Amino acid sequence: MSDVKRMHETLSRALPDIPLEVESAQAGMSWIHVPAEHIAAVIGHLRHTEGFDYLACLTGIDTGEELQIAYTLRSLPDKTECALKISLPRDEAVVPTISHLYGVADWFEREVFDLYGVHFDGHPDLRRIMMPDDWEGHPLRKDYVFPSEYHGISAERPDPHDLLDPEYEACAVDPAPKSDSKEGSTS
Amino acid sequence: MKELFFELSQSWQLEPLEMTGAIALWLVVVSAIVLSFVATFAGVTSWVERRVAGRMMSRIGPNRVGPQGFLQWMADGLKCFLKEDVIPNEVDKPLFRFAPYLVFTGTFAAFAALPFGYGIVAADLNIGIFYVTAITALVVIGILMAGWSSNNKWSLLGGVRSAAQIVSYEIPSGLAILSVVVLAGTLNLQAIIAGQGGFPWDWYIFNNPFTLMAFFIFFASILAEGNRTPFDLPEAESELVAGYLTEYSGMRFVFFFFGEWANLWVMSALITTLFLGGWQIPGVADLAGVVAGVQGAAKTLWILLSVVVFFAKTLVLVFVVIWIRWTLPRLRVDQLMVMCWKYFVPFGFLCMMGSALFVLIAQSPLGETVHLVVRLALTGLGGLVLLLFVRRTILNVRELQDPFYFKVLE
Amino acid sequence: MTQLILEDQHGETTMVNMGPQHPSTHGVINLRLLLQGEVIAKIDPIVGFLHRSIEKLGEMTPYPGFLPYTDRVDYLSAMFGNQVYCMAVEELLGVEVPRRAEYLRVIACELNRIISHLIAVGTMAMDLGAFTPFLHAIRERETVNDFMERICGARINYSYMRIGGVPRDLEPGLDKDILKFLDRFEKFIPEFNRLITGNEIFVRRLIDLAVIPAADAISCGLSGPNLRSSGVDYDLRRDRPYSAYPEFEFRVVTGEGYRGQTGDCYARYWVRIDEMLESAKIVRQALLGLPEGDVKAKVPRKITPPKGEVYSAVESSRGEMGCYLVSDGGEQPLRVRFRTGSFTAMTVLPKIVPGLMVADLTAFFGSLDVVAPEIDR
Repeated sequence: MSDVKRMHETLSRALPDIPLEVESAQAGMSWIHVPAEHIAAVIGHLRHTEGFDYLACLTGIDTGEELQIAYTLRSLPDKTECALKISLPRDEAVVPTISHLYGVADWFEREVFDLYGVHFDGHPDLRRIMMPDDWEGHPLRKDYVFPSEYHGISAERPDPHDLLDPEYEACAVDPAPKSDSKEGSTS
Repeated sequence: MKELFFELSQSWQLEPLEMTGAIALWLVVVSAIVLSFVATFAGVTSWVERRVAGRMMSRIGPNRVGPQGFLQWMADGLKCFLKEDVIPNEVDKPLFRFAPYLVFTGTFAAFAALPFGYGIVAADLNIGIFYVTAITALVVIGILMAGWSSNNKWSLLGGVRSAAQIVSYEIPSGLAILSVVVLAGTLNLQAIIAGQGGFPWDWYIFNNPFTLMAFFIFFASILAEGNRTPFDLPEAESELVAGYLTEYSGMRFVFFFFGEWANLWVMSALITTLFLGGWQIPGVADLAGVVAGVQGAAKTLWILLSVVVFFAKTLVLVFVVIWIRWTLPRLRVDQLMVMCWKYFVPFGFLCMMGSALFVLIAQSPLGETVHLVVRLALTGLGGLVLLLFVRRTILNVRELQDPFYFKVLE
Repeated sequence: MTQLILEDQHGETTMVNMGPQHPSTHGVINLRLLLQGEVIAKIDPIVGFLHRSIEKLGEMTPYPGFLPYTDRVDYLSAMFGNQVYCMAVEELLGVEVPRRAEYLRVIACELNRIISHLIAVGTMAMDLGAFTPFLHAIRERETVNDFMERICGARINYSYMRIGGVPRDLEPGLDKDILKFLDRFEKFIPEFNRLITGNEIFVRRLIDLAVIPAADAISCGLSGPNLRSSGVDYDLRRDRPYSAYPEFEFRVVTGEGYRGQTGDCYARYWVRIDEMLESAKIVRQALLGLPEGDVKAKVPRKITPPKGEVYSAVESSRGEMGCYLVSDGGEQPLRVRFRTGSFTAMTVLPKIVPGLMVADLTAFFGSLDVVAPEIDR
């Protein structure tokens, strides 16, 4: 993609202190690799100087060895796109936030925090978004272990063959103790 | 009704003590008749409304229980009787239990003074219209009580909205009523009807431009008082879940709707009485004289005819109210208040003053002729609007893509 | 789902949970409101009730097997979920989709857009208390659902597309039936407008309400009809061309604000009404100019795209639906991520809603046309 190459040249000229590289794989698109600590500066430059006013996509990726975050920026007037990517260590993943640059980044970053455990530095309201607040772990990480129960609700699926067995107990986990008070009284 | 009772009691020659008992019995009988009428009307209207709504939405509506689904209302009523009466723990129980009855009573008590035909009225009060407006205001207390006692924020919002709405709209509706009362010179509903005639130009709606305006103000205000669309904010299901009804279930829930559908009759009958000539039969100038002049079966027939006329007018209005409900979207609460206080109230005053002025004009020399011209002109205007509406409908039907079939029953 | 409790500073406010069970939240969403009377002082949208971990399932499922899941991302416009995923995999594989298949995809997608918008405008009228327009819209939708059934055998969750094309050709006679429907539909819209669009109460409820300025719309990542109604002339079908769209003539509808302002609720409503007609135009062109040829390219039975990543995006009926697909060369994707229009539309709520009334919130929420499963995936 020539857009990315051109953008890389422009960025390298404007921000000479930041090491930027164009990367690509065997197929698909190429992207600019940015050191994690400089991402806010780079995107800020793209936003304010180069006219990339639209954050199309922000996603986390867990390759197994490292966490990555991919930013897809778009310029609506120029109809160009620019993909950026950062790499993070699996433990202690901290990135500067870009939620002050794009309103939508607020929720995108909350989602990445929720599902990958990446901490966004300076984010105004970093809470879980998809999972309950008391959920343990970050589900889209490759090393995530599925819990067998949640608040007494079994998450295990029974083997269909077991269901035919008359001895089979439907609920593996003890059901929650019944509360004494009735929910509603009748008259 | 009262005359009938006294005729009967005189023919039986009762002692004073027996007379008291007879009066009590008579009251019970009359209220039972009215109650069964209200219940049947409310039930059947619920079915009619659902079928009419179905046709308007190009679907069928309930058609399973009984012929054409006619018994649906009985099945629903029975179902709700048998349902568990759930009262949530956190509610204010006495108020919660009491509220539906209050709402129902407010609507039901109005029937006592409503005319159904010539001489057919449970209690021919000399302050009939005043009584009806006063007693229907009881509904707002019931609704507010339901909203408050439910201990639910949506219910409370609904209750407060309802209170604000009904109290506000009492004023324009009262002013519109007054502009008719000025013409009739009485608060008695039968006498108001007697002051009109059988033909449209004898009705109070076309009496003068101000009553025509008052008619529309009254119609809109009474829709608002009855919580009907486009003023159904207290129970707006898309905003407040179900408003003050949210926590109710079973029979108590039905009582609210019972009241609503019964209220449909109250509002339509009031409009018919005040503006549309009530039970006046076209071509019969003096129904009271005619009825007094004949005896036996002929008398019954004349009275029956007046009942038919009254029912026909009222049921057309009931249909119009249903029609409006399934056509229009809902107003916002501030728009509702703006409409009431900025437009309806001042224009209501204007109507009242204008009507009074017209009474003076009609009494002046030449006034008779001027009044007749005005009445005929307004009737012509009304006819023209009706004609345009029919023409528009025919054009729309012709534009339809699918072959149009006028199949009411399906 | 959150510990945040909206603070009550003056003791004059009420905290109200609008949802998760509420008639006008269009799914399971909790809007936590802080009310002063009926005016909203603060809003905290809480989502996640419909999180079905589609993205995690994507990482555990082989490429072709994931297709049915893409229907469930947005159940009202399942075709776009299919298309964006297929496009992503095809781009990684380097497969050229036959032209006839592209045309068939366009036909299916635009029909899908029509029925999705019908639901949108219908439910919006319902949120304002008018129930009849909704059922009239549903009636037309049923006809299209019948076509969808004849196209792919399913009425809601289509799973129509395959990697490399579509599984089967149009059945004979279907194109004539669709054209007949389009004639009818183009007359239905004026009828619908007479019923509700021009209704004075309806207009007064919507104009000048919850105006989203263009700058906010872009910053908050609004897309599709919501973005265009703010006056931003951007449509992925034209400005990031994909499939066979460059071959068709159509107008990109933007909010005119001819009653009220650009970017208000009425503009959002009106853009959807107009887009339905544009979609009908595209379907007509595609059906009349349908090229001959295969409907599916040759793809290996076992799909193992080479290492790489791709971001594909389509103009779904709720805005940009994007699929960020990462392949590590295996049978299953390393990462599949859906970017949806509803998710980004939710981010605009805390900016716009404070100061509106509860009744306005339902109108505003309806005008955004948010579908809860698409937010949570």
